[in-house]
Amino acid sequence: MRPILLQGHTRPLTQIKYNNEGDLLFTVAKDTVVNVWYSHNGERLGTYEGHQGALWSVDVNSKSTLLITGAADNTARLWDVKTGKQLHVWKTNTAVKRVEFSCDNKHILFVTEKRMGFESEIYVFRIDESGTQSDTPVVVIRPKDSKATVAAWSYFDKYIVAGHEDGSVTLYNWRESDPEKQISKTVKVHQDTITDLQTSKDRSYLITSSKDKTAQLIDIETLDLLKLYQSDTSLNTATIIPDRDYVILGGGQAASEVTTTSSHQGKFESRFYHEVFENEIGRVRGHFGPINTVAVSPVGDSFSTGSEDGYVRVHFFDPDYFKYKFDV
Amino acid sequence: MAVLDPKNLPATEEDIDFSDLEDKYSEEVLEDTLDNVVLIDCLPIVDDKKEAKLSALIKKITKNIGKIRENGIHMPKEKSDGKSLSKGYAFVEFENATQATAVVKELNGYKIDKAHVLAVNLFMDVEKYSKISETFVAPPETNFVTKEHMKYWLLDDQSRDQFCIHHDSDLSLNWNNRGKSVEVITSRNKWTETYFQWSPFGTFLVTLHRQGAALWGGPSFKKIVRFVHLSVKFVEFSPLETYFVTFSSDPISLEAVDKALGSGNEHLNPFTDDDVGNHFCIWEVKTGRLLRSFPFVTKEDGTPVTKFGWPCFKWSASESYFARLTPGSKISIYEAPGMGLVGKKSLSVPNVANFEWRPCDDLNLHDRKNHNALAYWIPEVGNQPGRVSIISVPDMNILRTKNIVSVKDIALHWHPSGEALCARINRFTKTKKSTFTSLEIFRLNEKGIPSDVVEFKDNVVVFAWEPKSSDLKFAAIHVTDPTPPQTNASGMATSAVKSNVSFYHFVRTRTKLTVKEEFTLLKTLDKKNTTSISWSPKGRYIVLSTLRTTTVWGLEFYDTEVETLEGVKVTGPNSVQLLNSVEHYGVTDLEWDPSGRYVSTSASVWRHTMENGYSIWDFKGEQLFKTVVDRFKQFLWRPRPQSLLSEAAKDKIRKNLNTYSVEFDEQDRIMESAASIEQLNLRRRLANEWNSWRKTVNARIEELNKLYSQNNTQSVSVVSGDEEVIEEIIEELLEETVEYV
Repeated sequence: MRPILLQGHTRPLTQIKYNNEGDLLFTVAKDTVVNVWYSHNGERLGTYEGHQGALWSVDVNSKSTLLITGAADNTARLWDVKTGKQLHVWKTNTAVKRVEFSCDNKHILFVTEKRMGFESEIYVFRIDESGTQSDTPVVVIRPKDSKATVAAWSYFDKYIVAGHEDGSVTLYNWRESDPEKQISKTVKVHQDTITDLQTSKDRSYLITSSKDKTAQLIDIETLDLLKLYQSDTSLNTATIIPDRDYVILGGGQAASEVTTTSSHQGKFESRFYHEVFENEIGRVRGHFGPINTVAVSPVGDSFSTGSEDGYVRVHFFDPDYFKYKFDV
Repeated sequence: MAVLDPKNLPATEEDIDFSDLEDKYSEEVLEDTLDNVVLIDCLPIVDDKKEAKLSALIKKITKNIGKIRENGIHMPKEKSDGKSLSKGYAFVEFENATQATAVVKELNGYKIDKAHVLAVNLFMDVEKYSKISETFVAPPETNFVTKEHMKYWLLDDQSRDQFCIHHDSDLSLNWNNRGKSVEVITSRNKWTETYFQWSPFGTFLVTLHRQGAALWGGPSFKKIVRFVHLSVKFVEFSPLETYFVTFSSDPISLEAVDKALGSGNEHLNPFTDDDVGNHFCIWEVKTGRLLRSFPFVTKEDGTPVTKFGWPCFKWSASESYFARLTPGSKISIYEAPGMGLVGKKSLSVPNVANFEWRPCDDLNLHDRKNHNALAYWIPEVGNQPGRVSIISVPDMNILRTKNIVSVKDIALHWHPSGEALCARINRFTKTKKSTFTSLEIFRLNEKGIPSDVVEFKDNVVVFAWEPKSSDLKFAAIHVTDPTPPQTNASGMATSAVKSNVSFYHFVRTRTKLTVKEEFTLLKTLDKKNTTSISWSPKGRYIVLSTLRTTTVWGLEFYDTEVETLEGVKVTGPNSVQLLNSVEHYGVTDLEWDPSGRYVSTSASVWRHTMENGYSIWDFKGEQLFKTVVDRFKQFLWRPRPQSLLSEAAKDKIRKNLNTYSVEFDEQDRIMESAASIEQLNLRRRLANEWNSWRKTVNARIEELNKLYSQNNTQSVSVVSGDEEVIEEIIEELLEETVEYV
């Protein structure tokens, strides 16, 4: 089916998120605007304006009432989804690289960049859905060996799981205030920086993507490596398709490494792999820059990719996709 | 040994008993001092009066080699009949050991007169050999070790071919499973430091290292032999794998080799003083022995020629001779394994530009001594025309020579069977402003070696003989502008040049009175971008490819002996037909497998970094396998030795192909179903594992759910998948307009 091209950003996309019902699509890019779209037709619903720097991350709570964004202007902001009003600003020392609502919508986490003498940190704040927000974090986790690049909540918000620059994944007991007891488990899974970390729908396992050209499926409790997906290019993002046994990986040669203009050799395709058998099933072409972020609608009828080229492409799965079956 | 008694220490240093230490080390001191002493034997026996005269003679004959120390001649004497007579030998002390060694080398066997031939030896050698035990001790018997089958891969029951790939720092050896999959045999990290190569018959895999080259083979790919040649750059086998030539730009130095081998391994150093400073080595493959080393060739003024084409030493088809060129003056032909110059001198050919040996694909090569011949060419100098000559070796008879005018350049292409030679002559037009090509083709198996000319209006840049056909078929790429396109730093052409490809073959038509013999055009394919043509090693099929350009990556598979469905051969232009036209993005290299069934194309990181990897195609141009490998460098099929079957036997197989193919089709079917069953089993197993894992996870979630709901009175919405979705679809008819046209 013909994809919908969303032209709402002037700079490379950094993250896109569907809301829980899959009808809204939130996109952030290195320009200062947060866009929200109707996912079924690509019509822009509105923007959230206020950030002063490149946006790195976005997340919406499961009721689609509150939106949280993290940006390079050293702030994370809370917005009212419906009105677009800015509800709160958290000031940090460095850029906020990743934000996420907890499962119960009562907490948020954000990961800050390591820069200008400040170490990378993971903050957890309590969110009061009706009233004012607190500026004192519930807990601050300070990764020791390598800076955290991405983080997510596990099922029941039991852990915070973070991916690090050195390719390791760590489970943090965020309810512990003692830094010594916070680390529950660390496993080195990748040879290079972890670029994305997304959880399955029930948050019982997760997928990581890395610059080492692989993506891995990991059990969120034991951190056992379940599956490995080998690609031929450095990966920027990976996601798990709910209800069907596929994963989508995205990436491509970094802009500095691309020598010619033809989109053929850039490897800018979204790649579909079978979740269990680990083999590549197909590719979807279209972008002319590396894919920075990929998201699947929680309903499972479409997926969207955001690229370095500044476009978001919303793809609806063809009927063939739902009919396709593996011989087992 | 005396032990110091602490209670009774010696009073002064002199009193300490060093005798034990002196005993221990005195011998070495002595050896040091006697290295420069030479024993001259078989001197005339002289009395006291003539002693001075003999000493003077000794001094005279050693004058230019070494300097004798003052009072350095010692002649032992004995009393006999009241006279003091010398014993017929003398000890002569030189200034240093090097001089002494030189004297031994030069003067041993020196004839003073008829009766006296000197025996000159180092004194220390005499000492050494006199100490050797008289009784013979048999060396320990070594057990016979069965060697691995060096040609084991030819015994594969499916007649598969092997290939070796080089990516990043790994070398891996694979079976080609009919192009459908690749089965890794062995993969080793850092097996080679620069690149690898196969021997002509595929027996050995050659890896290159800083210390030299190594040959590997057999089912386990053990190291068979190694050749110590520091910083070896190029290697080459002789055609039958008997000899091995290496080149290093570093001159041979004994110390450097010793150092590289490590202490205690000096005996492994194959070089002697004679080899010092040389760059080329010729080795015997079976023993690993160095046969001879060579320096660079020198110009007339003695300066070395450091630029040369590889292979620098070219071998005759029978391996009995090898030769190299001194550009502009001579061809030095050596015989193997003796390594001596044939006729003790080089073949002087003033102005010679290049030469090529006559090849031969005949198995019974050794019975055909008269097959050794080479062709060389001479450019036009002054009034003298250019020339192509064929001479036989070793008698150096000129078999055929042909003068050619307006020569710009000549390239010599022997037909692989040696039955024809094509001289590709780039010539100036009359105005000298442009060039064109004419091909002068000599047929060697015919009386008088007749030649034919094929004229082109434009310039032939690539020429290739069809290896098997009986009618001397060839293909040529010709272009209007012969200047090669611009290339980038890694040798990739930045633009694709328009070119034409023509096929010719030899036709002999007999009428009652005349016999017409000429090379006739079969077909010209024009407006191509072809840069390279590769015939299948079994003939008939050819791939036209555009290699190493940055814009075009086309591959075109042609059949040049098209048959009708009834099996009748088509003649004329229609005998050349396109089978398939495809593209391999970034292709830099192309190679046929030795059986002519498959073609490999590869994109090497040595040329560019885009989509490095390789593909395998069948001879019809259908892609069977493609893989992208990071930092992929090299793909080489393992060559096969020549078939042992006679032509008649091959024909018989061809005739009965249908009966054989039934058997093979059955094999194919069994294999395919086995593969799919295997695949299904694997998937079933993976799916089962996944499902059981999911079960444990679901149990875990259940437990946690209980735990959290007990602790938390508030309801926790955890698994959003459990929520029921209520969807209301309201359809409203907003407006309906009906237009009548």
